[in-house]
Amino acid sequence: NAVKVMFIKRQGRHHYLIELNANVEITLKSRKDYLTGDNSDIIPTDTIKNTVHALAKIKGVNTIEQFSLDLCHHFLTSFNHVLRAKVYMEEAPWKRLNKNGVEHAHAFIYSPEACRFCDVEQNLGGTPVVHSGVKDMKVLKTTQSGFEGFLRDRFTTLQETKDRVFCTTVYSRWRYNKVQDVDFDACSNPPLQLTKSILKTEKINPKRKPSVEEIEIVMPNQHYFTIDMTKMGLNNKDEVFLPLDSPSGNITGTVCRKQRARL
Amino acid sequence: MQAEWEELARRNWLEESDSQQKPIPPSVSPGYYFSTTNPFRDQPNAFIEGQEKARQGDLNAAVLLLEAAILQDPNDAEAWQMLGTTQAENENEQAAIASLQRCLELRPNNLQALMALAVSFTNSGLLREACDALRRWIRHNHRYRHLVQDSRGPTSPLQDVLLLFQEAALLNVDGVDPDLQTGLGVLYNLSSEFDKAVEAFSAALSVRPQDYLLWNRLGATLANGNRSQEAVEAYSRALELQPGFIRSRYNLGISCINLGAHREAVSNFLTALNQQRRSQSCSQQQMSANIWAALRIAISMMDRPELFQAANMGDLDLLMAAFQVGDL
Repeated sequence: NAVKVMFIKRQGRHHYLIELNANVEITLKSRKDYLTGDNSDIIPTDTIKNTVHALAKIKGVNTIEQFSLDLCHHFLTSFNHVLRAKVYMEEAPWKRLNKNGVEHAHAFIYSPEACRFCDVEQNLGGTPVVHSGVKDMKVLKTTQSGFEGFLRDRFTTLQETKDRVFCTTVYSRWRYNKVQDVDFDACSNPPLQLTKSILKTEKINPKRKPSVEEIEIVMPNQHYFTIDMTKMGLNNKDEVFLPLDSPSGNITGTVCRKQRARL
Repeated sequence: MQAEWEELARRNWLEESDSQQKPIPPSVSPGYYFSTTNPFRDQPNAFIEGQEKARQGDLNAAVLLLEAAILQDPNDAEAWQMLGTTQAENENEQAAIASLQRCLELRPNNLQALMALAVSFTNSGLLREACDALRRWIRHNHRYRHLVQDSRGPTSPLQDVLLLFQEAALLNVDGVDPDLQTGLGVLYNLSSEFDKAVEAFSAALSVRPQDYLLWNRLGATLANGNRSQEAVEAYSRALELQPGFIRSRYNLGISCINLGAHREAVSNFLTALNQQRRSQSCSQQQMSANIWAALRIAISMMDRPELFQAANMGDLDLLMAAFQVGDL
């Protein structure tokens, strides 16, 4: 777990970098290490770590999804006793320094607006299943959000409102229906576009991205409560708020493409 | 040292530890993943036995036997073709495509392989490649090759090939050419003209009413055209003719989902997965990833979170018990 690698590609003066944090899990055919203490089949975790480093050199790192696919492929084809490989990878949010719209050739700034991640799972003889996602993307809007018309019972004290502050930390994960010729960057960047789609509706994503099969979104409702200042003789007109991120309501939803029948 | 690493990273390494089996020659198709433990590896008459197993509906055993035949003779185009069509029936599209492409490298004019490849490309959403395969089919078909001209003006590749096939169909005044009609059916699926595709496959079926592949193609066309109830009837017909037809059972499950019959859908997917697992002579898990994905979706619509968890973990036994799916 937590194998960290940074890869730099130099094209003349222009440098590209990608820094990642990978978890690799492989499942072996034999159990003799557990049953008899025979280690002859074991691929040491140290070897796995070294393999991640070495494959970054041999294959290069273009996107975390492609590198994850390369890792799975390596472990399944270099040995004949590995049954399954699972890779989870997070990408460090390095952004090129930007001054007046001009991008710097080799300077970057760490911009944790959102964390891009992926996980790839592949069984021996099977096709890999790729999920990508973004998480820890905290967004907030100060108006045009309301909540009314909900069920009221004897335990309900919440007041209806037409206008409130809405804040959430978005977690979204989607699955691809194919792994070749997929532009992984186009689906995961930029996070801001995703924000806009989510705040409107989940329907937008599937039409624009035909290689996305299924998308799951989880959004906790992180509350900001107007502080009642009447006891201090002040009229707080929704100007001063108390941030209260827990407890929070959690909203989840999964949308998937209608399955196509196969000729 | 670096060269060794790169070779390691590239090769599909199959040597057994007892080193009695030969390693795979590097000229064998790089896209096809052979099973690592094949009990039929040195079986004589592997191809003929593979054909027989496929006929009986034991698709997994057929795949292993055909792989064995190919390992014994990597240039056996017929074996590559049969492996391709069997993998497609077994709901393993990537493997089907790799096999059929290898067959066509050896025999570029193999009409059955070209048609099967066009179907697989269509299923994978690769429109251009599907049209290309169908164009090659016409070009190599002695009855219709004279229709092929090089430049047809500014039309799309799909419209180009469609026009070719339509012209070819007009030549058949006396009867129906079921293979041509299959090509038309595939093209109309690509152009989303599902009603016309239904007509084409129905015409093909009038000549070959026992062809379970055609019944499945008809069903899939109906399903993709939102005629799910009729699709179910077509799939049932295909499965009557060939109960081991994994792809058709998968399709049937999908139509059940579309009709809101989630329990039936799950039952069908579980049956298919069990057939695949049971047939496998070795311990490896070789079930179709597509079917698992569809199963997860069906279960997710049933509001049974504990079963959804089991589906995520791949616990087939638990699910079979929960839905009372026994051995066929």
